[in-house]
Amino acid sequence: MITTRPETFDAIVVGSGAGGGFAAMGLAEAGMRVLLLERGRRFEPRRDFPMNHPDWELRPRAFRDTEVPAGGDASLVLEDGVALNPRYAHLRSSSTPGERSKASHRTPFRYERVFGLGGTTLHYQGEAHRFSDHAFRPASLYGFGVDWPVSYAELAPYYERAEHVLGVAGDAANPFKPSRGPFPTPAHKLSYASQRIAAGAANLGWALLPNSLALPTRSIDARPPCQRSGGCVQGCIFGAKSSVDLTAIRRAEGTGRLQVQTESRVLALEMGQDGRVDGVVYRRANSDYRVRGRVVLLATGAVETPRLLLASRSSSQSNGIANSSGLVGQFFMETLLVEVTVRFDDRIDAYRGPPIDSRIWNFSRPGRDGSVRSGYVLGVSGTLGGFHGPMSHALLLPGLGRAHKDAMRSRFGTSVTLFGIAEQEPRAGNRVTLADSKDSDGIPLARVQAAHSEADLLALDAMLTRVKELGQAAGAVEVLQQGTTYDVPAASHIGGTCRMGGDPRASVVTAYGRSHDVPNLFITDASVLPGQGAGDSPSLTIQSLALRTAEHIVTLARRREL
Amino acid sequence: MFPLRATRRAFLGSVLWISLLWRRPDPALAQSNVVAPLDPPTREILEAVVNAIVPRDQDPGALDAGVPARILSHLSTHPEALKLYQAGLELVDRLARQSGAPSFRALEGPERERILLALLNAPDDSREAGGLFLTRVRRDVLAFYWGSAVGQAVVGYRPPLSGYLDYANPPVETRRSRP
Repeated sequence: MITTRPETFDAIVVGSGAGGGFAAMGLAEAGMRVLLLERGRRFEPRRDFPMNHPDWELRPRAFRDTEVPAGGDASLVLEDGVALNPRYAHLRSSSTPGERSKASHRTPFRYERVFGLGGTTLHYQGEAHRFSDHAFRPASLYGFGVDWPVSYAELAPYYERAEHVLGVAGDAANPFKPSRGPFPTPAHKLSYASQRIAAGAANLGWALLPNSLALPTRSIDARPPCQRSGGCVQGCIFGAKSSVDLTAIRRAEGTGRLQVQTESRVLALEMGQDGRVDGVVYRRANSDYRVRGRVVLLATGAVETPRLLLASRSSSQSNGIANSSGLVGQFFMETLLVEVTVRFDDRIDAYRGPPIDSRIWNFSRPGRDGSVRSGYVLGVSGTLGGFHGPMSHALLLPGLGRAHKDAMRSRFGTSVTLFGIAEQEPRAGNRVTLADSKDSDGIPLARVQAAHSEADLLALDAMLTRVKELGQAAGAVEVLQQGTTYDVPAASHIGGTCRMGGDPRASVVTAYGRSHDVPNLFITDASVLPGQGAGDSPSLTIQSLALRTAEHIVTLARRREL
Repeated sequence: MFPLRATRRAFLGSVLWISLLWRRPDPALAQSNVVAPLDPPTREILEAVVNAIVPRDQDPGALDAGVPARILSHLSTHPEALKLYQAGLELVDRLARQSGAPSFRALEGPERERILLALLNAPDDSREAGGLFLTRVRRDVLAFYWGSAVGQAVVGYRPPLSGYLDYANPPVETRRSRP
């Protein structure tokens, strides 16, 4: 039985991550009454996050997906990936020097879902990038991917607003980025480990520059500045990281017009006879509810959003809601990533400081590196690769006994991970569809089909070469491990599965995130991104687009055009 | 947006494993005379195995960090793991006796390591319960030891409880000892 709630909200936002939280803030601050539905719970940093304990490495993350069964994922069908191209066997991942995986197929695509108020910003590392202006016009400029229906100039004011909400720390003097005013807070100094890598980069003619981060260097909204604990992934115990729950959602709640309802999983969208979303059905504490809103905004991510649309069929939309183009779920973009952990002869303790405090943008324009079509960026991380605390380090070192203990004493704190991340050109064959099997709530599981093109493999190859050059130039003495998405997919920057565009036959939503088919349905997550910003992190762009969508909704409401 | 991925496979596995493993030690077990899931002779073999994986030397070892109590606490609520441990501990003791020693406990450190490494490094296709046990017990001991304050002190690691405001400076040598 479904209980229908008596009230009708101006807007219902489904999902409270980067897009949902900012959309809710934009709407509530403009005077709309908003319901925000979040599947997970609300977290209190000091109480809930493991790094508040000395033995934090032994404790599970508070907000991981607790429904994931051992070896599986509750929302995805896990299937063998595509066959690996043997010409690129040198890209295989390896956690032991000289030893490579022997698998013939990619591992199944899976991803770490984050259930909790704030969504993936609970575990993100605070990277807050404006995409470069060229990233909005890759087809026109480089014949790569598709042009966006929105330009950098149009998005710039929303970027600025989002940066102020987050207190982004950065250095405006980045020659690879559009000119801009000062960041809300000054850039972090480079960590000691990054200083060592920067010297190597300079020898190669590359510039390792401070990253722009939603880790404020000054107190913002009574929150402390970043304490450089390196613990963003586990959840910031200081509440310093500008996750969406502590920033946009807190502001929205301050208006008195946002109702946050956690531990509420949306099961379906119900369509009315008029072709509009008539109700949102959700489950909370084993009871089902229907709630109505004048507009509905989906913000559950690049897999869950198309999954919900495809699963919410109606008599008039048997192909899934908002899917007259047939493109819901199509153009899935995964993450093209390489990471190489290198060791120095001396102690650098790279776990200290913001987790990704520096980046190299020399190759961020497509075509800057020989025959590689993608733009890509390189970076330094003290925590990627698993070499964070002693426990993870010990588990990655081989052997046992005296030799292992000696190796720990001589090697702990001497490693750092260098990575590269490239834009994947969207292709129709890569997609999210529905499987026959269903989850415990009766919703069909998602099936992710993701294969590499030759251009993707060339990009991985180039980045692997570059990060190894970088390590060598910086004085590293050994490669401890390499990981690439050649054989093991990654999901940190996925998107594209409900792409925005001007042509209803070639896109799912408009430049404002509004469905071409359903006038009161909007999407404000990574699904709408037509590209990946040449390797930059997408969260700030998602947040800025969400603010723009919210403003558009308010405008339409005032004109009575919703 | 860049979640920690370790070697993705290893990391995803370890997240699940840590969630299974994580449980506060039973205070009675931690106090230590209580044995619960293993009989006293088997517990002694466990302690010998634990001490072989992270031995006591110029720095404290896994026994000093209370690792057996953590493992016993876990085994008391995980029957499948208990079965694996019981079979594995019986096997290492049998291998020690086959080599002419009265028991695994009676072996010197290097001999203990030799038996454990042989099991750990057996080829994948010939691995039986012994290899699975070694993989498991190695992981448990390393995690409980290096995740503890005792292990952290050995490598001069400060947990991030108050952040690292010295992050831009060269590290200060705080190791307990050098190899």
